[in-house]
Amino acid sequence: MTETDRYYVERCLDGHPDDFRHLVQRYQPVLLAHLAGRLGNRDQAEEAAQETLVRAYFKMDKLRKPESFFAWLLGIADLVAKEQQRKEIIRRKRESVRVLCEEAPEPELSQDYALETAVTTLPEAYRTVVLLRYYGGLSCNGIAEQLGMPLGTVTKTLSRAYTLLREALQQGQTANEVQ
Amino acid sequence: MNCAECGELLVVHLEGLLEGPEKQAVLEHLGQCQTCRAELEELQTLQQRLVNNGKALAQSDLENDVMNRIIREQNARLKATDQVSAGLRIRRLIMRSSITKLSIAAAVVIALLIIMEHLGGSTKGTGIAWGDVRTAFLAQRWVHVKYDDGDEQWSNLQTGDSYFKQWNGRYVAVDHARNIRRVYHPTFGQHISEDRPVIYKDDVIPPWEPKTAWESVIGSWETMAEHGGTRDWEVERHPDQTGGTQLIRFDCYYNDVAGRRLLIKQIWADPKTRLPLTIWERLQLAERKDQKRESKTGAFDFPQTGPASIYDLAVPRDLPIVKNYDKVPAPPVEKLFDTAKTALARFPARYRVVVWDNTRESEVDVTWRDGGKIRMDRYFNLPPDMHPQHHLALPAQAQDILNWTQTQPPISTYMSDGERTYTRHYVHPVYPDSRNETRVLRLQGRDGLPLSSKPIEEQWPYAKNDPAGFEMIRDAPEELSRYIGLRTGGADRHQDFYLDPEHDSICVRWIWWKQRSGRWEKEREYEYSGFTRLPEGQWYATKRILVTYPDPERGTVRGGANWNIDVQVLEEGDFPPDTFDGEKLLEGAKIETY
Repeated sequence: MTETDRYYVERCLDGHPDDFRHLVQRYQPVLLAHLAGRLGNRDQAEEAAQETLVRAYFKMDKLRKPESFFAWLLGIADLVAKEQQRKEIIRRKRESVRVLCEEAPEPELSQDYALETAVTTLPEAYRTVVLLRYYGGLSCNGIAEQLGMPLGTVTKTLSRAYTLLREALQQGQTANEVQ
Repeated sequence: MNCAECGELLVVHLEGLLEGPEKQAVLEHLGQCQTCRAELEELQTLQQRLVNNGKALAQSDLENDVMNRIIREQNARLKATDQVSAGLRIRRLIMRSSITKLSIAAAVVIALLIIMEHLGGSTKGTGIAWGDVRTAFLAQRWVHVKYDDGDEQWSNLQTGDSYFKQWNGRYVAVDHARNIRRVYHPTFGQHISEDRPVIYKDDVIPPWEPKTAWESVIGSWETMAEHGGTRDWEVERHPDQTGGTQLIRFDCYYNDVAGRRLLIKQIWADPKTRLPLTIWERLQLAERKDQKRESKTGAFDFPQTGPASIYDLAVPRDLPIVKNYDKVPAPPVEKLFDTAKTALARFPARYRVVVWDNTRESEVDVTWRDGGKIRMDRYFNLPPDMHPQHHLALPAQAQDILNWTQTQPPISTYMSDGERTYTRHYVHPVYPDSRNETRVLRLQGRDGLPLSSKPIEEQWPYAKNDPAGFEMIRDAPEELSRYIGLRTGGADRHQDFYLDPEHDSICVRWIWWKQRSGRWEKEREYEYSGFTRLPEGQWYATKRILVTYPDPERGTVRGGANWNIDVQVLEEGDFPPDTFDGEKLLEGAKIETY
């Protein structure tokens, strides 16, 4: 049976830390997609996702509304991503004694970064629905339930999100063409 | 229905949520209107991209990593906050419950249990052992399991072909021997999608064994126990009966990280035939969520024949087949990779490499390799006017540089001893914000070091990738036309590798491309030259040039470096003491394990 986020959050707070596993399973792909788009690199996204989840676990008693766990988690993820980017900049500054010759990152050959980045740039309402649909593995009905919105709104949001995504992807390809 | 109306309903249609006359109207309009059909196709493409990307991201070990780290930090916090109440609310909550034993559980979790020792051979006492069921099972021709949730599975125990009919209307056919899976899921479109169920290293498919079918039907307890580390499985055997028939029941328990014992599976077997009759399984979270039920029960039978193709499961025959994996690479591409792998394998197993920039202050890297062990120490050569004590006069020879490193504090060390990787950072006098810190990770398959700390492997940067993602370059520029070009990448970025067949297929040019404003522009470019031969005949490059091109998006300017590479082949006793001693890298450092 599917339990709500609220149920698992409360279980964790009542001293069943292993129930956090269910929340990890539920949001792992969503979180990775969100962070990969922000950080542009799978390894860094994994690292940040891990940090986000661990941090969320230890801060759970500060979560006012357990039913908003997902939004709260994304908030932490954004914070972690920012910190990580800052650290990365410092690291680069320190290590690049000569101009720009930091370690070459390993080639990432198979990731669809354009898409991940496009998803990241979506306004929040659209992004949440896309993330839940494709990275959270929820059906439209599931999303309606999770976000407490009518099914029609979900499909409309999704439809608009597709349009925005296609625009963003196209723009990525033809950016600056005018110049 | 007009285009605007249809457009509004396309997503609803794609999601399979349209019914009755509305669906009919959309289908009719699509039949007539090419524009809307094209729109639908574009949406499907985008959807498929999202689905693929989601799949790629779902393959991650995050769950166990996160749970392990939580337990570890929990323990550390429990210890640290014993006296003071600065602690967490969580801690008090935990103390309230039986999970106080968490710290004990954490220790237990690390332990490994090999189930087969408990289950194997012994047939003492009542009935049969687990191993007997396995043996009897594997001797059959076909196995068929029908579950009460609508799932159904057939497996050919001789060829490994497996067929699934799932409760949600999905049909699957897996050919283990060829590593091909075909899936028909009407919700995702009227086509059969074909992919590779398992990604094997170098795309080499291991020989199929009946074991595979056993694992897919019964479950892979043994495998889980062997790869455990964080898992703990137990199987119990009990006599049982149905309708007066004596049976043997195997109960499989999972001891979770919180110390609870969960019943995961039960299998009833007939002591006479030794074959499994019934299976009860607790569903995994995703399945529980989808199916809104906790468990499922399946009945076994062992027929003489089974389906011959996915079409035998009532999948329509006229559907197009869409391949979701890279095309099988053209033979020359595979051969080039083989040449590179052979060259790398032929390279001496023991050596020392010094890499430095001979034209200006820069990093100096010293690498030691002894078979599967490798270590790289990085030093900084800093400008003489500011830090004369950390300055190395240029140009210099490898031996001068080695002597100089003896007087210098390293900035970092990467080391892999074959079991673990260590990344050590040191406090450097010039960089007071640096930390003494070592990150230790358990190795999983690879040596865990980035390519950039392996100066020899770096000369074949393409070699560790899957050849399936590469194609030959047909339009190489004039200056590179004597080399063999390989290209890999996606829609807005790709990389070109030019290999020199006369020098063990070393990559003489490695170019990173990015598409900007619809034009392909270079991001960075590596060039290898100055080929030298070791006494045994292996080639390596002694010069490496990097040019980085300006990137308006990142605001970077043109840059580059000009490295020298010096290789010295070593014998067993030639390594400095403690080169591969991980303990030494932990001394005086804060230790991180994730």
